[in-house]
Amino acid sequence: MIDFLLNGQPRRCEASPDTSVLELLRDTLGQTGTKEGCASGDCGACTVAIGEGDAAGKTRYHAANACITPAHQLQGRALVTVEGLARGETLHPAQAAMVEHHGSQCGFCTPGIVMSLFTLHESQRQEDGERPAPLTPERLEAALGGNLCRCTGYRPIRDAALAMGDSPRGASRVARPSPDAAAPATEATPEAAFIQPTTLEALIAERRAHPEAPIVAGGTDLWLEVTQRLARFPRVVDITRVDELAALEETTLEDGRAGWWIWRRGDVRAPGAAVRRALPGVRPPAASSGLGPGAQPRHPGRQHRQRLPHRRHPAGAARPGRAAMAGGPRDGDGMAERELPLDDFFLDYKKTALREGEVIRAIFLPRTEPERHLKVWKLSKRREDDISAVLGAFAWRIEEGVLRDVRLAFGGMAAIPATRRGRRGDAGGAVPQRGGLCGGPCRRWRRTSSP
Amino acid sequence: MSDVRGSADYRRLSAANLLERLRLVVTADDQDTTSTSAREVMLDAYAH
Ligand SMILES: Cc1cc2nc3c(=O)[nH]c(=O)nc-3n(C[C@H](O)[C@H](O)[C@H](O)COP(=O)(O)OP(=O)(O)OC[C@H]3O[C@@H](n4cnc5c(N)ncnc54)[C@H](O)[C@@H]3O)c2cc1C
Ligand code: FES
Ligand code: FES
Repeated sequence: MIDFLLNGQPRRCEASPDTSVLELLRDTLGQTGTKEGCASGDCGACTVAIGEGDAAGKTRYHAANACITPAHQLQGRALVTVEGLARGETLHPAQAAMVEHHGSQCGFCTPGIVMSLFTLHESQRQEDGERPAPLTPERLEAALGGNLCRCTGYRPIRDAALAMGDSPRGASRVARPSPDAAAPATEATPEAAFIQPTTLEALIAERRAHPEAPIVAGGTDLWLEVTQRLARFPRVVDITRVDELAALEETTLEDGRAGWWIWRRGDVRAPGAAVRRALPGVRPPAASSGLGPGAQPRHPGRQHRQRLPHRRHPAGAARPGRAAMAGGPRDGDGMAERELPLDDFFLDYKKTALREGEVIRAIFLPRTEPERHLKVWKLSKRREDDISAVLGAFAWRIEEGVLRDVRLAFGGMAAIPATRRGRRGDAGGAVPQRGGLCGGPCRRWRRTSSP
Repeated sequence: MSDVRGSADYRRLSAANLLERLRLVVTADDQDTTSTSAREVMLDAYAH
């Protein structure tokens, strides 16, 4: 049973554990304003806004792809759809601006675009009282990067977004999550269930009892199994409410490397800030990391793409971080924990070193030493919200004209992120010159890579 | 691999181009790590 607010009205719905928000809306509740385009998180036609209360009691909305968001994650939250924006004949500023600026032709993308604009408007209004803060191009790009429009063209949509900023009235009428409904269901669980543990201990107990039940975090990878491969999951374990998994900790490892342990959840800006500190030269083309997704798949429940590759995605190129796992075979009564270098974590295409019943607790992101050069380049068709064709990450140091500590990594070139470390006589120790950058490793790479 | 983007040839060529780009960066005269350009994360949107 899912208890949530739909456009301000309390709803209680029955749904199988692998139902998406989109299916719930269209098939169960008959709310067909939210459209299905790609059913894989790419197009944004299904965008809705999901609200959660923050510590200050304010409701914070994030845009979400309804097609790949598990319906049960709505428990205790407020869902706003395109049907919930207008008040009678009075359009929401996002809608009014789209009409005024001719932001819609065939209209298929329009509900999704309006919802992205709504979320943007809400977040700006919250930052600056009732009147929205001025919109920067970066924010606009980040907000709309997850929405595709095939016929209108983006200029009128952009104009609408900019005009929306002039409107003093926000959408304060939209639903507030009900505190009573916020707690996930805790009753004894039948075999088919969407389990939402709130502690690591409960999560591990669930993993031990039902190792076959998949874990879901943001769902942007797992839910494609449902929408694209038509998999059925009678039991799903949602880790987004486990408190211990929601943190960020600055630390120094035993080997002296400084960096951050990043847990998968919490305020999405926290990992973002850590990443910026780890990579001080980050040059994002948009307010987002620029390498990652648009606003919808980047909401707080989701892992930071490219950086928390829980299930190895070939497009991701991991840095030499570490993964901490919990819940493995037990020593005595304790909860066995272990750590692995990320390089040893990925075994094969979509296969990792995770043992049965284990979960990833955290990822260690090392700080880049000041004298080290780092370049990360991603090639993809879209700037936002696209799986990269190839991602290259390169780090090196130059000492008296000689290359040292060279590390090269590619995503998209093999079944797992491909990395090469320069050793003496290899990439390290070479004098950078025209004929070839890294000698042996690069040549071997050309010979052996089979993308 | 079912969810890669672009053909194998395209990806091989892209990777080679990135290595070439890296070579140009490494052999460039200014190897000043204190500048922000020493550490960058960026994206090349590429239509193919
Ligand atoms: C539009 C779009 C663009 C994308 N672009 C990229 C891209 O550029 N680069 C890229 O690498 N990926 C990309 N992806 C793939 C994917 O979204 C990312 O890999 C993302 O990090 C997955 O995070 P999630 O929280 O949504 O994972 P989920 O789908 O919730 O989970 C992914 C897998 O990890 C497992 N899992 C989750 N948490 C844990 C845990 N704590 N312990 C153990 N197992 C766990 C799940 O069971 C599942 O198998 C993209 C996906 C979409 C839809
Ligand atoms: S239908 Fe395309 S992102 Fe959901
Ligand atoms: S109006 Fe037709 S796709 Fe956007």
